[in-house]
Amino acid sequence: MKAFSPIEKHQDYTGAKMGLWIFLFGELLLFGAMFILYSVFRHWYPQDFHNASRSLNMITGTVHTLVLLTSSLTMVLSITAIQKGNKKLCLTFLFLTILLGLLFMVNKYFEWEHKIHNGIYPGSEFLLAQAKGVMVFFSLYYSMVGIHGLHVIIGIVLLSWIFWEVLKKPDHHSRWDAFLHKDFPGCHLAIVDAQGKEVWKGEVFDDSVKQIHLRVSYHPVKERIHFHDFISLENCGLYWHLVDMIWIFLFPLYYLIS
Amino acid sequence: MRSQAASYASQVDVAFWFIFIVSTILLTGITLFMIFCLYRYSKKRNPTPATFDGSIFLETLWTVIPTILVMIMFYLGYEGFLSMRQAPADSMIIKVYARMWNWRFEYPDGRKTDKLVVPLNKPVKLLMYSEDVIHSFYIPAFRNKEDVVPGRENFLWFKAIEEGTFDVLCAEYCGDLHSYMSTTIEVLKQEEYEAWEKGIVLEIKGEALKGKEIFHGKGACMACHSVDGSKILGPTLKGLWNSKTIVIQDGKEREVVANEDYIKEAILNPSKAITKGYENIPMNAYKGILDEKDIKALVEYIKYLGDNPK
Amino acid sequence: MDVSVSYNQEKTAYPGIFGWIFSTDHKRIGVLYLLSIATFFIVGASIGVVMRLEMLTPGQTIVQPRTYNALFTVHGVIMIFLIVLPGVPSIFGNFFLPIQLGAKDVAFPKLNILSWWLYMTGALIAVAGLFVGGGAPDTGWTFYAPYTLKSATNIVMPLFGAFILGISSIITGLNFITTIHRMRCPGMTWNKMPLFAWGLYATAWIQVLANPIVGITLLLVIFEKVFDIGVFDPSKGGDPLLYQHLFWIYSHPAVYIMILPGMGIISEILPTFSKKNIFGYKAIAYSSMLIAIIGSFVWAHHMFTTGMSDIARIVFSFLTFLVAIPTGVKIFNWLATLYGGSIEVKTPLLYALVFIFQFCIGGFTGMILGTLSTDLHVHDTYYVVGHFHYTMFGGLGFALLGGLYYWFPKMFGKMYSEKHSRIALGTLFVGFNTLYFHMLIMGWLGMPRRYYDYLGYFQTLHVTSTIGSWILFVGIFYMMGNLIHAGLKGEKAQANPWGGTTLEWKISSPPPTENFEEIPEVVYGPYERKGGQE
Ligand code: HEA
Ligand code: HEA
Ligand code: HEC
Ligand code: CUA
Ligand SMILES: [Cu+2]
Repeated sequence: MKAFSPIEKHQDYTGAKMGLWIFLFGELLLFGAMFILYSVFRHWYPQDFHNASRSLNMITGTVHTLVLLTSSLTMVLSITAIQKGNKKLCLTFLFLTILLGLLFMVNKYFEWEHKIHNGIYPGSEFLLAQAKGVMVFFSLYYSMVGIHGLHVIIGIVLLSWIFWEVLKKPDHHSRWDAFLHKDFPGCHLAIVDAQGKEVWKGEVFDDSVKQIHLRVSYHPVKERIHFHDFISLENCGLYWHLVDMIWIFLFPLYYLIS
Repeated sequence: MRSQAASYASQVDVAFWFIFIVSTILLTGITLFMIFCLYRYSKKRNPTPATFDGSIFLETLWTVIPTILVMIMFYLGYEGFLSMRQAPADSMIIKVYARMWNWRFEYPDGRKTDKLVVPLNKPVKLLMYSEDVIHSFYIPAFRNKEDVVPGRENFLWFKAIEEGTFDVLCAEYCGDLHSYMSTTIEVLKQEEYEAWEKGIVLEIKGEALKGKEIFHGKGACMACHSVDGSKILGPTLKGLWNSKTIVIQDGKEREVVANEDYIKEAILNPSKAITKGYENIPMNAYKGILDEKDIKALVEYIKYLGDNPK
Repeated sequence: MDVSVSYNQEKTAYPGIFGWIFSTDHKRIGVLYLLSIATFFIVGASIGVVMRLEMLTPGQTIVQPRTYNALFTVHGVIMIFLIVLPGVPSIFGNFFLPIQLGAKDVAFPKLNILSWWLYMTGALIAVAGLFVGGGAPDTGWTFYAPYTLKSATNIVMPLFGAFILGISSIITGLNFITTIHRMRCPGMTWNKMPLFAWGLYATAWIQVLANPIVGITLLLVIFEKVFDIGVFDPSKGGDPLLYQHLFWIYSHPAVYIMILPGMGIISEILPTFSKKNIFGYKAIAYSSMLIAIIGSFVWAHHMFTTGMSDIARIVFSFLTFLVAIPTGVKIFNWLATLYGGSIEVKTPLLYALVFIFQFCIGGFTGMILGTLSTDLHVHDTYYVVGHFHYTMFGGLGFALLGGLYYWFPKMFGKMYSEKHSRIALGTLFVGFNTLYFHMLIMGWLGMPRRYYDYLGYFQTLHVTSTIGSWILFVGIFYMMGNLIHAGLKGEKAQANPWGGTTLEWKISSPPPTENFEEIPEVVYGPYERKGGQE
């Protein structure tokens, strides 16, 4: 038999949330810097920006937007599902979210493919012959949308990972032997179930009890994410919403200004 | 070099010395105080430490006094800055073109030079353009500099109040020969300036003109050779024509006359005969870069430089 | 489990070195950072010495212009991105922040080791960039467009390395903010938090807020070089000044990322050796935040000569001066802490005093740079080079060394020789001031920086300065030898050799893995010496 001291599992929800919010704030600044660049250049070359944006297809842009908005919705639904303890539903919505993210990327791919095919890409002969503002417009367009796309990809990877985590089932195979060597006069041992209801209750200890030997075999829950602890899922969700939100800003700036 | 050769230079120095003196007093005070404490409040002399740990009065004092001091500093700098930036309306306008790694100047009447000559006590406004990367036009004796940024017109103005020749340096890092990107400002009395103005307006035409273009353009010879007698990286080409120079060929010194053949060789194949004193600075070979016609034009230009001393 | 086993002896899940590089223990991570940073410092500093040799004579002394340009770039990049930026937070912040707060670890231990991995990855990418592609970059550590866009050297890799280092820095920052908010032990209110933690807190915010901006800027430069976009290149409609703005919006606050934790160390050392409570605790704590805030709005003082509008220059100059005030408040409170104390003169204290002296020179020269008229003269001359070596090396560098001497017994459980460390400090002091004070003089006389060659009349000053670098070299060697010897053969250190009052002195040296058997409770201010806190 091996002696264990119960190692406290450190769980700080507020801390974990806070860390993520600070991170998201940083992300906002990252895009913020680019939005500033955008506004400076747009201020310098209003006409060129206007002209250049006409070559972007508004319908494609709208589809992008709708896809991402829907994915935000499914993300929220998946978190609600886990809160209710419905893992299956949670997984379904998560899967839908990932699918929509992929759809966005595919859509993006065809949009860019089309542009590049038509010779509109940074450094292309066609662009070099255009007005300066047009060149800058497309430089910014490709950088900002590209970096946003990168975030979508990172988001998809994160969601896939969390999908895998949610999928994990409780583990039934390990055993735990405990050896306690303390006195707890006035307490009693109890086993409670997941809802906090007492399943079994021992007798009250009195002063005469000096040692407790306890041997329990149990099924520790290996699943990281369940209706009680879904902070990782929630954080992934927050990240996903941020990515969506940034698109909501990108969309009018590039597709709707003309 | 320590001269205050521009009208506003003394203002800059006043701001400097004010800050310098305030800083020296503060630094000395701080240092002496530390030494004093080490001595007076050492464990030996003061075994029981005092217990005070704050004072609103002192905090206020050392917030307010530095605030006043720095505001004076700011004001001095601000005042000097205004003089440095407000060019009088009657300034003479000279255009400055910077590129890796030389300066060129264009006067109102279209003259082009590679060093700046200005009249004494007359305001001059430089409009500055860069053809490649950022450079910075710096005249230490005038205490002023301004970057030359591609895609932008920056200006710098000055009124030179001292005769003489002053260094102009490039103060913004611009590549390999950044530290060689220098020229001079010559400040001349009004009469001398007018004489210079007449003297340099030389007729240059035909092949020699083409040579000059190559010299400043395709060949970029001006990066290393001056045409006014000053030494940049390589020897000056002014007065080179038909003069005698000492070269090192196959490890031996030899005197040659700078005739057409020699100059052609020097351009196409410079490492063959290296001018004495320049053994460590290689000139790039122009074989394959310039063709026969270009070389011919360059020779004409060098000939022209020789025939027409200042 | 035996709680008294020290962190560096503990049996870990992985054998040998893997027990360190996969450890999530904040103390081991701190030591990892210490060793990596020291290694890079030796490289960067050696390059500095080579540069001084080249400057011994005008014209060529030992290297070609192209090589010299690469040398100062690599020197600057290593020093800034690999050493002084991560420096104090990563080494001492990791090691001591949780202990000073009475916590067992930082908020996100796994992210913490991830940040070291990112640091090493970024550093190695940057260093590898020197040997592949077009060779070492020759742009200066500021990577100004459009020169950077034109240079044929390998710039993409160092930039990408710096980008990754930025991510590492953001992670450290958010980890510290969360730790400070969530993991202070019972009783430790904000106003009972040690000043070192305050310095780290201010710094952590700048790290989180400013890093993304430089991150995106560097990324855009990479895009310009690789994908031909044109945001900063004027020939494509871009604007080089926007690059400078974005660069300095980060890199000016970055200098406070460097100095604030350093000042935190000074605020720890002085009360300990004066045997007296710190003077003006709140003033020192809040001035850190003030410096961080004001410091975020002065970036364009690096651009006074770029052709920015005159109004902008005036405003930025004005704001620049405001930073001096909270900095001065710190200095004067430190002096008042010494006053009336019962001072025990030990090496860490001497470092702190040398810090105050040298940092003041750095700060005062900063005033000349912030003044509009004088900056037009000294911008991009050796005056600036002198200024930033005084602040970064004379200030932050000496604070870091002071911290090392202060906490060395705690970190490694060994004492060093007091005599030898004083001799080393004396040598460093003489060498440092000989080396850099002459740079200030040269700068005022008009010697531009990043110059391979120079006019003959500067030679005497350059030679003196170079001699200073040799003295400094000897000093650093001596110092390192002294510490290495102490680490191997030193006497065993007590738990509290200096009579410090903060929590790290309440546990054994070196600290046990879990720091505290029981989370402590705090009643008094961190430097108060009543209620049996002696
Ligand atoms: C640790 C790093 C550090 C620190 C702390 C500082 C601190 C300051 N710096 Fe420095 N600086 C750099 C690192 C640092 N700097 C670097 C790396 C560069 C060059 C980058 C490059 O181009 O490569 C640079 C460049 C630089 C410039 C640009 C110069 C140029 O290129 O033209 C300027 C201009 O204003 C400046 C100003 C200041 C000021 C006003 C402070 C202030 O914070 C100083 C405040 C402190 C004091 C003033 C002393 C103590 C105060 C008192 C004792 C109170 C009483 C004081 C008075 C009444 C004056 N710095
Ligand atoms: C904290 C940062 C830091 C530090 C510590 C230093 C340290 C040194 N620097 Fe600095 N320097 C910068 C940051 C720093 N530098 C930056 C940012 C730039 C701007 C770059 C740019 O323009 O882009 C710069 C630029 C710069 C220049 C200007 C180049 C130019 O403009 O032309 C010079 C010139 O002399 C210089 C010299 C030195 C020297 C001699 C040291 C020396 O002090 C180093 C001292 C250390 C030693 C002498 C110790 C070496 C010891 C060993 C190697 C042995 C130990 C070995 C064992 C124990 C095994 N540096
Ligand atoms: C990289 C700098 C550099 C450039 C560019 C350069 N030169 Fe030179 N040049 C030198 C140096 C250094 C010397 C002296 C060493 C030698 O003779 O090789 C020299 C020598 C010469 C000489 C011989 C001068 C004498 O005094 O004997 C001539 C003629 C000459 N160059 C012409 C040219 C012309 C024409 C061009 C442009 C097409 C040019 N150079 C471009 C550096 C340069
Ligand atoms: Cu041009 Cu430096
Ligand atoms: Cu700054």
